[in-house]
Amino acid sequence: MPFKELIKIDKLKKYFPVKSGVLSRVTNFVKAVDGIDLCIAEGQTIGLVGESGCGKTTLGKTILKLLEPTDGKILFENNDITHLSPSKMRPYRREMQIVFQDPYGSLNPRMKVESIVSEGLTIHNISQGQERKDLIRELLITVGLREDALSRYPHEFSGGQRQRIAIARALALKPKFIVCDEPISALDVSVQAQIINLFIELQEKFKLAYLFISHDLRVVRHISDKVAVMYLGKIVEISPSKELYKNPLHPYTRILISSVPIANPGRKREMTALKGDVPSPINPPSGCSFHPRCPIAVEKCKTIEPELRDVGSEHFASCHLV
Amino acid sequence: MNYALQIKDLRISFESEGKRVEVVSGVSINIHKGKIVGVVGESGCGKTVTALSVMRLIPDPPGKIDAGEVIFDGADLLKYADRDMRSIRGNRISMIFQEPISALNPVFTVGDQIGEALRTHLNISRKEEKERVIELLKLVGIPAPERRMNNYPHEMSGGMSQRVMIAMALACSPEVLIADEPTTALDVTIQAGILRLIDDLRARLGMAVLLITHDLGIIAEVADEVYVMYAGKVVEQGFTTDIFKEPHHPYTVGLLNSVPDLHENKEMLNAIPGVVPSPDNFPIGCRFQDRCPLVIDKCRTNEPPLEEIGNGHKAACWRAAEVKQEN
Repeated sequence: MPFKELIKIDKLKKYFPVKSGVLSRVTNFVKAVDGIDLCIAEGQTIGLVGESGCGKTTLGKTILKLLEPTDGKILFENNDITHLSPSKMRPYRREMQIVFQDPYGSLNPRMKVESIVSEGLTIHNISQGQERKDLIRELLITVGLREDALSRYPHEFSGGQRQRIAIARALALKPKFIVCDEPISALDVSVQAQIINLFIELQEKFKLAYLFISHDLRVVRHISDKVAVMYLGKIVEISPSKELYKNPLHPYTRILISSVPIANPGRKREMTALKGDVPSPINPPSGCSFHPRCPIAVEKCKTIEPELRDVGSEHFASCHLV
Repeated sequence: MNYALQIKDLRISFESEGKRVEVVSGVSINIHKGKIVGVVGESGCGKTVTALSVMRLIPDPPGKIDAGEVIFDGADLLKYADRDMRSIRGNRISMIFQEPISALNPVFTVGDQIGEALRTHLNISRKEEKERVIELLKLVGIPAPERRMNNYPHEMSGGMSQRVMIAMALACSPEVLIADEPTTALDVTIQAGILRLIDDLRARLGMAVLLITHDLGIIAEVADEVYVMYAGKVVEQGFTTDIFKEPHHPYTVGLLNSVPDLHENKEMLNAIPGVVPSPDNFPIGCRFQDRCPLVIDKCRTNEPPLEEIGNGHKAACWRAAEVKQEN
């Protein structure tokens, strides 16, 4: 079945200025997102992995235009939304939502669940009175909460339940696309599985597309159709998820996958640790930005930047040695 | 005796809104010399409080150790005077915490902070102290230690700070190291390095390690024995290989099944329904009853004891013999 393209980003860049000196002049830039191309189809989940500071969250927020892109293009259903004014952007905002990492910080403690979930409906002037109440009641049941949650406050709920409220809020406007920014990392292991299952159920029911940002490679593999690996603001490898885990090509991806501890004491393996830290995104290394940490780097890697190349079966990697 | 540390029937309560709430209800953990013992459980299960009580770091009030013993070197640490405890803490038993960045003092250099432990516990000269700090930083794999020791914590990354924490904990060659979620705040690429370091040092220095984590993967990688905690109690314990191969408590099975696999495909995860009960509202009988797929009437009235199944493997479940891991 050919997928219908929902979101396409083209050479997207987001630079943050670094100011210094008495006059706070811009002396440099943090290249958080540095020329990323990505396609997200209707009903598809793209997993986004990488170490902290690699630009995952910035990419998610820039796609939603919560951050103004520095350069590049964002197309939503073939409409260029890159430079739309806030009022022109408004109809698109309905279609794109976000669920944040910390369900303790993302819900206003002074608002009842009903107001939290219906805020989007109010802003977009959708439904009134009893009709709205029914709509919200139905949403709460969809995400696995009881109807009486309506008139309660966020502090009365556990972390997992709060994340369900945040998901209900994201669903209220019937979006086509949700950015899930580490939506389960703040939750307990046994509750994580509940929320992952909920994301999968909702996707089937509403044909949602997700950009699923996480540092947990096990979870990403489980939920994603495709996985993109990010390093220092760039995608270094992208492929259908099973293929990626079976046949990782980029040395960084290999190390990431091999460093995940496996819950099977019989399967002892060499734990590979990556040497050094993520370099500063202000002055990324020349050539391939991974070369100072790469176990197989050659001379060429220090000077020439590799391009993301097609290696067959929808698998792309940016490494000279692949 | 080849125990490095024994926790016996520990009970800890906290005062909350005028009520005393028991958060650890009779936990016993034995740590053999030179072994890594893992404690796994979710937030609120009492694993961190148990570890803190060994170090006598529970704030009192509101916390209180109601009963139990912590046997170290033939004596009960809980009976030590504060001054005597100070000569053990950071010296013969030390601890590393989850958040390396917030556990380090931002206004002292890391060399100074590692040296503090040495100055406090050992009678050594400034020169010896400096040499030992450099040696320790080298031991935990920090490049250019002579330069790095003059850095402040903010000049170091999370992985580096955790290595500094470990160096600090190891400064006086402790017999027991307590590691509370040592890698949770770190990236997975750094995590492997820290775990390998702990395992290495254990082998080289012969210290015993109490490793607290919520990640079964980490347990499988490095722990020799495991204690699974739920709602203030140990519900299952045994050798790591036995627990993973043949878990006998439904909670352990649930935990194992709720983690997606890196190489096998599952349609839906077998999530454990419901949430952990709150300590002021533990049910009568088994504390896992409301989330348990195997619950029977007896579970709602009688609390199952931790009983031996064989080879040191124990589980607290009335139906332990029937529990099987389905995959």
